[in-house]
Amino acid sequence: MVIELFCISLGVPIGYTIKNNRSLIKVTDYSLLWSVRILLLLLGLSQGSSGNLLQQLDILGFQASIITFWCIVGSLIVAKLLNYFIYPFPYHN
Amino acid sequence: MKESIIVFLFFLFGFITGHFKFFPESPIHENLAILVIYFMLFTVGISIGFNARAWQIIRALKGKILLVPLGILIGTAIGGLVSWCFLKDMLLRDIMAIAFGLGYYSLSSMLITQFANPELGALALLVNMAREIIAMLLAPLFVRISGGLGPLSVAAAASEACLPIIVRTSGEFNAILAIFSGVVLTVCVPFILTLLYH
Repeated sequence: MVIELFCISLGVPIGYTIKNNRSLIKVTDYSLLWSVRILLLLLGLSQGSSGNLLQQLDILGFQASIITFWCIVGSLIVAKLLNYFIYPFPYHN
Repeated sequence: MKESIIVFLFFLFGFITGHFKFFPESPIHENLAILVIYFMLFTVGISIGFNARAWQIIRALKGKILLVPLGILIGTAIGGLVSWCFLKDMLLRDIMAIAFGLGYYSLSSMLITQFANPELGALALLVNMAREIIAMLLAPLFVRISGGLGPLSVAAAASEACLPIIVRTSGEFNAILAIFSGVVLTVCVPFILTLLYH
């Protein structure tokens, strides 16, 4: 967690410094885009190569899907309520 | 939605190549994944820095900012309770423990394996990994359903791997909230799991 916070903290002043440079903003956007894609590729690779997890997926899949689904639904409902009641800013894209 | 499909195809490609052993198993993948996460977080920091005005959110919300992680905890607890209605053969405590992994799959699966048994640990791994993957894939849909705070429903993971997608779909303002909420929830995971089993 410390390293993660350090990485973010390191980027903030750099971003603030280059905030008026459109080309660098574009490069940053592309870096984000591709880092997400590469991470998912690596995640898929580790999941696919893990034979144990694939076997357990057959056994535990039903339970996992139920818990995952309802936890996300519950969080989304509360997130929507939070948007309505406490969030003073419109969502920014 | 186009980006979600592209990201899913990347995941699928990785899964197939991993499953059929097109690449030799290597710890390099894990190290590379960690490096990619660090690079992403650095880039996220830059994105946040672009919009220095976003810091006004934390000042403007003051104590209210705590409602974000608290709300996600409540939403997760509700989800756990509803899941128990469908999975009566499982203990409520086990379901709540798995749910309160909050997307932090590495720590939660390890702790649940220690506190309960390896099967529950594997289930925690599946649930929390799925929660993170689904959030990454469906972040644009979550924004449509629940507004800018929707992708934060990935909870603890929101402060790490999911931040880039939150920045892209919800914007830097919500990314600030995601970092705060993610940090708070990440700290909560070991405490809640310890409370549940002791």
